[in-house]
Amino acid sequence: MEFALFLVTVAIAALAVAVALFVAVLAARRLGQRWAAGTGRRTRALYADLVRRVAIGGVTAVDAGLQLRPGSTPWLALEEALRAARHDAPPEGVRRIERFLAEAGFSDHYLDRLVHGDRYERATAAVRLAEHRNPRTVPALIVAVSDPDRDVRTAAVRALGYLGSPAAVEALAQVLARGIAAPGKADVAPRVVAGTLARFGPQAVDTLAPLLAHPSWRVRGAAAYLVGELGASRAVPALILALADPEPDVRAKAAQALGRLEARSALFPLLGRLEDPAWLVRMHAIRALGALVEPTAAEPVGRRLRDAHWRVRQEAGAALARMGRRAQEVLTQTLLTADDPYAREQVVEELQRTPVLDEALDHLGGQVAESGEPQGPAGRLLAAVADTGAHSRLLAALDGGHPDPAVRVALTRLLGGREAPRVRTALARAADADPDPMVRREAALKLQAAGAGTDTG
Amino acid sequence: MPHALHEALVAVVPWANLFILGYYVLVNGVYFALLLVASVATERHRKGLRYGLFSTLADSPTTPPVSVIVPAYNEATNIVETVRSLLALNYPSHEVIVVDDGSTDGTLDRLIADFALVEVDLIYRAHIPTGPVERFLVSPKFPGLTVVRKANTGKADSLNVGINLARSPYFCSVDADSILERNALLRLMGPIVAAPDRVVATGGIVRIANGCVVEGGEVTEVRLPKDFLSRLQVVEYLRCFLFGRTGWSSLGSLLILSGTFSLFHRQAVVEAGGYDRRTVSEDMELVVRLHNRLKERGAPYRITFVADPICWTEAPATLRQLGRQRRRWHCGLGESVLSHWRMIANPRYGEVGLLGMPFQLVELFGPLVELGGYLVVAVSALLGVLSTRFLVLYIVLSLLMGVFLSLGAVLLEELTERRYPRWGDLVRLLLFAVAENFGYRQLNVLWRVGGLFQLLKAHRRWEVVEKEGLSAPAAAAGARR
Repeated sequence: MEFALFLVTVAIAALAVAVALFVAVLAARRLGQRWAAGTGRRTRALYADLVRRVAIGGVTAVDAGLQLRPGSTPWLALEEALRAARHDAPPEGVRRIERFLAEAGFSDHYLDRLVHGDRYERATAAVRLAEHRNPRTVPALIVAVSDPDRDVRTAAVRALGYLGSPAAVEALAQVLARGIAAPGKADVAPRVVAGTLARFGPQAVDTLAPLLAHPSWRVRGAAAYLVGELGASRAVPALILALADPEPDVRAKAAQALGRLEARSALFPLLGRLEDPAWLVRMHAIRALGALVEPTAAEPVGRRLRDAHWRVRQEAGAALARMGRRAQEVLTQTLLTADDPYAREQVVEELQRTPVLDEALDHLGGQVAESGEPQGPAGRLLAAVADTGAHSRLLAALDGGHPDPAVRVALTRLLGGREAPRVRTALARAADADPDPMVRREAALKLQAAGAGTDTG
Repeated sequence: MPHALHEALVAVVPWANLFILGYYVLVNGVYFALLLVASVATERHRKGLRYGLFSTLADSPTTPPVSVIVPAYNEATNIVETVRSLLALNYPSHEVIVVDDGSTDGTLDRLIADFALVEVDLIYRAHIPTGPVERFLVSPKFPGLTVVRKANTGKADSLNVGINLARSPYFCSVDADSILERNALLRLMGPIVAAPDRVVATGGIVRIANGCVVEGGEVTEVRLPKDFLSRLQVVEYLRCFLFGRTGWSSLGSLLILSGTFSLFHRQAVVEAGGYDRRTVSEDMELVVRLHNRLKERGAPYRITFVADPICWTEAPATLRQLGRQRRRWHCGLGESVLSHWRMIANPRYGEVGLLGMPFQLVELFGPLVELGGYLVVAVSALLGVLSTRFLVLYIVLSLLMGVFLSLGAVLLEELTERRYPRWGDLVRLLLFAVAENFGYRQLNVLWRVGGLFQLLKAHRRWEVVEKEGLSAPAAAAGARR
């Protein structure tokens, strides 16, 4: 018992010390931050004039004769002030500030840290060097792309993206290929490298296009995707070749890239991919054709509304909706003639996003017989929409939404024989509250015919 | 008292004491270890923020799109603010899907009025089986917003509806009474972008918005809540997230991602069958199930917690509402642990089976042990075998340990986000770290025991927690997680 008491007492003493230590650390940290913030404020005030003169070209690094210790709090505060001043400065002022940062030793300090610092310092140095926009630092950053630490490598990759020097593209392409070819290894995430390479624009395409023939299909796929992101139309022939790659993923990414580049010369190769055995390829080919807004593609794409895979059907509908009038005709024809209920549903989903339904509603007056039989093109189209169970737009138009009473009468006739409860509710509301007596009468008749009784209208 | 009973009790009490002491050493030893692990992880993370990845994700074409799913049941007070904050998130490509779970307070009407929604007929593909969906609404003004109206079938079912409609490879669940900071989604995506083949889910920190100033769907000024109960919860949340989740995440055994704010790989969740409608704590159950499936498949994966993406939520401000919440959480913990009991201490499930699940089991029955402790003290006093000196020392030790752990959490908060910069707030946090040990902790034990009793019931139901809303000046009212 005594021993247990002794142990508990010792534990209490240890915890009391730890609690006191925590409180002390908290207080010390707060005071330290307060001091650093104060020093920073004072330094920025002290050098505000210097920063302003640097931006307008009134002072050079030699004139300034700075005596601050690199890495010290005032040094960091001045660097921060210079970086902040860049945001509001005109282009010439930005260049002067960047030159000052290079000549006054700021970049040198970070170049030194990039090599000799610990992992955190090295990674931070890479980010700072990118912010200094000093092209002299590119070689050091290219070396840092092979740093033993992943965070440093990632920071260096991103820094090179900011600097945008063409000299870095080759190194970045290698990192990308390395990361993709050996997935799971602790390398820079391919997504990060790809995002960085995309910043280089068309200038990177000559380095990346050869990767379309890389032995790894993953690398070929990533290269195809990136070439599309870079927006270089001179890569189109290589991408058209990639449409015939044995790997579906590469074919899909090539189609995606061609769509992004809006490559009209790829129209026929893309149409050929509409019959690809892989649904992913068909889907991306359709998306690309949608981006081309090419009317001649409307019918082949329209046939894919009957595709076995719903993602392909969905994409075909969306592409047709984007392709303009001719394609919208394909959509309506599919709705009126297709046996496949999935294709019809998909068409209706897309038509709701186009003006086609609103236009049909405007022309509906007089196009539906008293029996509910559609008579004109607008009547047939909207009856086909209602047949898929998609009543929302029609009900919204009936429920006081459409200004033409003749349209509301036609809608009442069109919807009258349908069983859905919300149709009944809308008809009852129309029978009760529609401002036009013809609509009220027609709605009441339909309700009566459906056996709903006369109490509602 | 009969002599034989007296003798028996006198014989049993030391063993009971030993058991309770053993439990106490075990639990606090684990907490202590978690604090150490979390401190190291937090320091690394803090240093990493200087060169953080997230800032470049905003304008990168390779940042994956995300569908933000907001299940909403009677959230008329908060829903518009929440949706506005979600639409304004700093993220290159995201959609917002609000699933109105049969609200009766005009939640849908508020959405229709504020976002000019129009009804459309969308094709609903139930990749995960759900209850019937009634209406779809979209906004011509806000193309990234879709609202679904369905019958009241619960939060898990609402989330599943959202997953079925999601068009992005990742989805993020956000509660309708919560507000995300503008960069929260970008920061949450960081671990996924860094290792997309491995990370299947990430969770961010949930902080208490009571007392904060909320304007235009954004927390514009962070303040400590004015009421005692919410302040106690601030310390509790800091402890739970900053060292609990960070610690477990570092150990690869994270079993809870708060449904208030977590991000998942959509396909992984669809393959796992989505959220379980039968549980009252669907968020935890899903994470445990994902671990279960992925470990069984032998797939390399990670489920992580990140401390800097912040989600502000409203905490219950009355004992009644808080009690409901805690009972449900504990019942949910029990459901998750017991429905996957095969994982406990099973080396097949790696660190999750050997560390995470056994500790959750200990946590599950912890309230009973703690209640037993108070009982043993009373019985010992009754029998005249109570060592007052030992009792006093034990209480002081418990108190100091609680204060130590809470202070550790406050210190971690100071190292990371430092959202309470006023000295007064810091002092208050420290005082509440002490105060929570007197009464609040004991109440929590009782609520959690209540949760265990709920677990025994055949038909458990979601106890809805009422609230007042997050609009400025921030209310101090109840919320549901």
